[in-house]
Amino acid sequence: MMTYSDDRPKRENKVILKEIIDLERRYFFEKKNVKTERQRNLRELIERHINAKDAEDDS
Amino acid sequence: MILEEIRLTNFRCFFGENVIKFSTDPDRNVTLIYAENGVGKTTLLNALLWCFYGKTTERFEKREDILNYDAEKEGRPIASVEVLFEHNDREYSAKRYFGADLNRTFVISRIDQGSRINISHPDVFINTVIAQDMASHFLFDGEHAEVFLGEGNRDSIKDAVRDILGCSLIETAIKDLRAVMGQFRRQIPSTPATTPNATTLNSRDDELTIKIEEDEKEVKRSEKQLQTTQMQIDDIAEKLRNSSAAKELQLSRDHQEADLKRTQARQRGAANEVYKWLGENGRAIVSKKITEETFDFLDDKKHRGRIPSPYNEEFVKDILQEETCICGAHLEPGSPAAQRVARLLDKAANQVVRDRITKVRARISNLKSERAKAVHRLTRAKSRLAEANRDVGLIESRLGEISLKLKGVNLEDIASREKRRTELLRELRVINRRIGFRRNDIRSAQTEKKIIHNKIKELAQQNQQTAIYAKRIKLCESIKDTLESDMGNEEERARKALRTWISEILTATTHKVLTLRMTNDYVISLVDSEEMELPKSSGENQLLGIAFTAALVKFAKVRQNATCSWLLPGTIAPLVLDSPFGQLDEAYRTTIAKKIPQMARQVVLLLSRSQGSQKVLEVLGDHVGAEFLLVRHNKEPIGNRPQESRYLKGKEFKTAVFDSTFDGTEVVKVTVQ
Repeated sequence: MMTYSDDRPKRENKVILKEIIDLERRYFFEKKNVKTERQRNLRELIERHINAKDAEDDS
Repeated sequence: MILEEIRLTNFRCFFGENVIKFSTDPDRNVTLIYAENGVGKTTLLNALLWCFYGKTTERFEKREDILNYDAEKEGRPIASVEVLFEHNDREYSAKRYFGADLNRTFVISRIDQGSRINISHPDVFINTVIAQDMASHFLFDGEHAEVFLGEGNRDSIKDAVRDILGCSLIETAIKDLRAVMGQFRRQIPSTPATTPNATTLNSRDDELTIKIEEDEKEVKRSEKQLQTTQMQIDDIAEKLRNSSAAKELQLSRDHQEADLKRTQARQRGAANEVYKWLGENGRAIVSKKITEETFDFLDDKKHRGRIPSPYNEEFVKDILQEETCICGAHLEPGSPAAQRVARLLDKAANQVVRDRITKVRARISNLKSERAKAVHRLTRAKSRLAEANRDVGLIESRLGEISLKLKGVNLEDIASREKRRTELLRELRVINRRIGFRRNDIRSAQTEKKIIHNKIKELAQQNQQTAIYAKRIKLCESIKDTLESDMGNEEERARKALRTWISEILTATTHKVLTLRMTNDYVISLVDSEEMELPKSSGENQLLGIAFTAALVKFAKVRQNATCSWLLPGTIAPLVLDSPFGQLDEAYRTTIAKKIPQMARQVVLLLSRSQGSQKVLEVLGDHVGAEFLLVRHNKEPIGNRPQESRYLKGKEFKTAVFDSTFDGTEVVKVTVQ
């Protein structure tokens, strides 16, 4: 069984948070009513961050 | 944003082109617009919203009918509203068109030395000037001021505060994170190790999501129904109050209902006192047996002088040091007699043990005396509760009698109105019960969802292949929690500021001691000096509506330079008040009118004849920078109707024109004679 711990430091969350808010801001002002596209971008953003973290763990 | 001008072309009741130039003078910051009911006050308010955002307020009738009927008949197919405004020291024009085959329906241009430069994304731009979510809160609809109050409206208040706080980005981010977490959860079952458990859990989760959504919709629907029903009840009460045959009975009912509220508060207070008593004295009552047994034990003759011990440690040590027994015999150190005395030290009581025993005795004595007093407190609280219960029953039976009497009045539809009122009250109870059931269902479903989410997460963590999803979900959760907590903190700050500002306005405008109550859950009420909640629909509640709107405008202004990237900044916004004095008496109208110019940088006040009384106008006097009158035009001849007119600035203005070429409204500037 894999042990799993992801006590991601707050500093790291701040970076993701900023990216998420920038994404939301972009859609809020420029492209309203495109929920699916916005959520897909958000999903990709989360995946990218988790993958990057895994790559760091592996190194 | 400072409004400079609005130009209405064939918009709703405004036929042809009509222009209002608002006062932009900071010292004379009030623009007065006089209009009788049904002439176009609310249309004007909605013209602003429609121009900027293409929307109108929910209560605006026939919302899709934009083009003026006569203009349409004359073959003029286009309606438009243009607003000139100043923002950050620059001048802009926003214009929205309505009509078939238009390439562009909304244009914003910057006016620079007479020339107009179109802004490329007008919808985006106007949202940066005043976010759409915020805009409707600066437009106060006095005829529906009661929406600010009561438990059923806490969501509207919460939304208003969040809108002005600029929470839109955070709220959407939280919703999106929830949706994305759901997507990650649904991806988990595709791996063999977690099937079928995760699949089953996910489908149950989906079922619960649908159920919660349906229940929430039903709660919202029911809350609207609740408001409508309450408004119908209030309307009936108003009609009965205005009917000579029912007036006395209705006033007596008003009195009894106010009394009932006070008595119910007393009832709640007494019931709370009983619960409080149980919390404080339960210990003493439950410990009755143990205290008595302990005292019996300590005071028993057999134990007297033996507890904590018949001899003290200090006494034994003294004997050993003096080497002399209490009988006078010499105690040789190390001798068998001295050793026997020394062994007494094992059982001797020292100061610490003696202190402990004293404390036990004191504590138990205290419990005993508390128990003795407690009975009296409980008896008093119970008797107050019984008295309140009896009074509630008495008032309810008096209210029942009043209702029966009204049902027996065979005049002016009074009986039928009263019957309808009884039906509506029954409906109100049914709706309240329905809301209660649905809310319970929502709570249970949410608890079950939480359990399911934890189980899915645990399943995912057990397997290397699925652990990545657990990580993603955990990251989403952690970010969502941060956003929710930050939003909560910002909201708390906002609540504090709003409470202060609303209270300031109330203090400056009321003659009574009124205190604002705004719970963390946004239930707003006004209480008098006796801590009694004031009934709905009273003038004080309308006053609260105005104070709340003014506080929101101030809040938006304070936040105009907010640099937090998660919240949208606030803005300087004009305050547009439509019929703000409806339910206020003359004394209140004047004190509020005095305060209105200070409520915002720019105020547009829409007043009917009864609201714009001489006293109100006198108080506003030096602050008024521009005045307009909305005149009703009728194609029909005057017939037997009396000619209606108003005297403004010493000049007579007709408020209705007959034999006109169109049916609709004309804007007339009120100028000095």
